[in-house]
Amino acid sequence: MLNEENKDNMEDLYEIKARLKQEIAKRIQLENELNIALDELNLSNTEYLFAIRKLEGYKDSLNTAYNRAEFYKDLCSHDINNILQAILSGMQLCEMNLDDPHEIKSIIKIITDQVIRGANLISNIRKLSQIEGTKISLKRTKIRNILKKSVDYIKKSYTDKKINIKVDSVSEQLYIQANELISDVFENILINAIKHNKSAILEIEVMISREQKLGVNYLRFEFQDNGLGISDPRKEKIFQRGYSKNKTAQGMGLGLSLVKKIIENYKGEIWVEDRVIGDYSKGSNFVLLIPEVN
Amino acid sequence: MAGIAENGEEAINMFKSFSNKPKIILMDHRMPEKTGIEATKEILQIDKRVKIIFLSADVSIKEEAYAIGAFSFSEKPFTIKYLINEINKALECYKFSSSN
Repeated sequence: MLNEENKDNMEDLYEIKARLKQEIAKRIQLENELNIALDELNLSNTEYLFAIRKLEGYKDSLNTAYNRAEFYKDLCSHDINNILQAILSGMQLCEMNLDDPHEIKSIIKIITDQVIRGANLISNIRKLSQIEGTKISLKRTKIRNILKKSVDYIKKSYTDKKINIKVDSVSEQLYIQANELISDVFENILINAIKHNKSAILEIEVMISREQKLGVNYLRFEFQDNGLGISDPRKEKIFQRGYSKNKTAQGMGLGLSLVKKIIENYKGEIWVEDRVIGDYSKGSNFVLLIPEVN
Repeated sequence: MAGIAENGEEAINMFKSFSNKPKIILMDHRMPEKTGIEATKEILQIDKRVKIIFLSADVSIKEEAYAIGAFSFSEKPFTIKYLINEINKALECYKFSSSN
């Protein structure tokens, strides 16, 4: 009797065991399926994060492109219209003064200057897009020769003014990694020193020395002038013309923002100080730091 | 009474220095030290009768110029004839507001 009962119990137990086995097998299969789903989810999540990062990158590029487009739009609508205004007024004034050749001659000079201004603007835009569009190649450049050429060019361009340009250098054999745009840097700074100067004799002193900063060997260029100077609130603004939203940053045209971009491309720095500390009206000192190479 | 200022700050100081205030100011906007908008605000606080004609290539500040009390806004480039016409209109307006 007991044996019979035991036999029934055993059969029940076998049946339970078989069901449990089935259940375990189902659960293992389920777990495997869940793991696969989890892996897919993780993969999707990684892809999702990757896509988000990519989108953020596109957003930044889009913002840069938008700001660039706005900048060029501003250049066209503002600067070009200013130039056109001067040319239009000049032409109309010529028409009003047909019987005065002397007056016409001076107006034609103004018109010519405006055409040159327009050409310089276009040239600067081209250089800006060259810097930003591609990686420009730099080569070891002997800097004293380039500076001498820029000084000579400036002296020839302003023969109607009394200009003294003195260059004082720690050595003749000084090299930096640069390209042909370094001439634009020197010429822009020298032209500003002349244009914004009301002294009878324009004094410009260029000093080149060596400086070490955070373990990097730099050449320090200082362009000191006896011009009108730059007040403290304007010292940073003059370099800001460009993609900044500060449209009112009049600066000195596109020139100094171009200079800043070129210097940044050389991994250098540029800023302006008072020639006489604390008295900006005594003139400016434009300081450039550019890494020196052997 | 007439004068030429090279920036907004100079325009304000020049305006303050005139005992006999000018009736019309031809104002640019993008200038060093202070902009045309900033200078206009300060000048109109000194004498609200003066008629300020904005002459600018920056059309984005047109509405703001009118909102702060500019008499008119001329977008560059414009003809000399157009400018003379604007000056005449401003003078008429100045005379009219002074007589009332």
